[in-house]
Amino acid sequence: MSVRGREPEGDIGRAVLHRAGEASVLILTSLADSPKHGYALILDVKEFAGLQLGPGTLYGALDRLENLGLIEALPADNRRHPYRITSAGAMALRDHLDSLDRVSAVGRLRLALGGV
Amino acid sequence: MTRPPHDRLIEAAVRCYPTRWRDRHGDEAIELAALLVRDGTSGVSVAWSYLRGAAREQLVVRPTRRLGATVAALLVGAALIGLPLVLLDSLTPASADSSNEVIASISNRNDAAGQLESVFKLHHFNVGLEEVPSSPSQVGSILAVRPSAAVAGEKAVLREMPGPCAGGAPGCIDAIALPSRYPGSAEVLVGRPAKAGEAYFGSPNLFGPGQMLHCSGLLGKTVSTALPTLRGLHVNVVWDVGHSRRGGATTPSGSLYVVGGNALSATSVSIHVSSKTSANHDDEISRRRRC
Repeated sequence: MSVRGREPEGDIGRAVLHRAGEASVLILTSLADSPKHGYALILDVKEFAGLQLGPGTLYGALDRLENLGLIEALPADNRRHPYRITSAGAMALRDHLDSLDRVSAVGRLRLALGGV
Repeated sequence: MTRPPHDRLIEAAVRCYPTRWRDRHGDEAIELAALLVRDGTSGVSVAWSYLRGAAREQLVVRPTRRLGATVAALLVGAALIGLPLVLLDSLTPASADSSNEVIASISNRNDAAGQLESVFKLHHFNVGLEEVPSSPSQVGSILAVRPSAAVAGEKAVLREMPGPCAGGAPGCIDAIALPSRYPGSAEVLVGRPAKAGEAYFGSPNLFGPGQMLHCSGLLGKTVSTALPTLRGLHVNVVWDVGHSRRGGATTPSGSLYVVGGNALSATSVSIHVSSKTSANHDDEISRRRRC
């Protein structure tokens, strides 16, 4: 029998977000500055990422993120349920973006070295 | 006033979601669809997105039981919308469900312990993980949940959720549901590949789903009938005569009946034999129906 070694805390959020998928990253990024409901999220993501999230994808990702404790629902405003990012969600997003920064830097460097 | 056809399509797609989802998001989803269509998004693409979301949702809730219903809903939806089936992609089960529970589920058997551990840590659950050697079909499944003995009733609140074993046979546990504010402690045992000669955790039923002799037809047969098949397995056989292990490595009388067995390791099995066929024979008949 073997007991698993402990992962550093930062790796947890990154691993969770990696598994949660790209839509989850876009949603967390959108919620990073303020709470939003579904329609506002779709408009915001379209504006900053140029991608239109399908509504089915949106609700699936919202449920996953909420169950993972990365976002939380606020009291409903009529039919609309706004969501806000939690501290765990902010930490997971920050870790994920840091790792993307590293990949981006390496990619640009290698493109330059390769003269592509 | 006549409603546009895509309204009915979108409502039909939303109805494909589980009731729990519709109670939570249904009204907002319909309103959101109307806003997107007003902004110029095609009603068909909105309906298709909901249909795919519903398929994913159904697969997450009960991956095995609802697969047929999900595929059927997708096919009907695709036919209604008129989209080619090649677009039926990315039906990837995700994790978690239900508002007051956290569901730690396994979707990647090669990283089962890592997946569970991530969720336990994220929610600050005091739940430890241990990887134990298992038979190939149980690798990446939850083999046992051990709540702390000090707190009575904890076993009842940690809900094990059945799912397929590696290879697709039923009978394994691939998720565990915990109350979102679970205050107790527990240990979860997850199967990992056994090393050569290493004993399997829990010595699983040799005739159970996914195991070496499942659907072999040997239960209830005499030892002399079973011997050729057992020799063909090229494993060490420990004979258990009347559940006393009197026989050991010595082959018992060929007239005794095979009434059970356990997988001890990748190279060793125990076979239970008795002078009577016993009630296990009836069990095997019911198991065969799933062969």
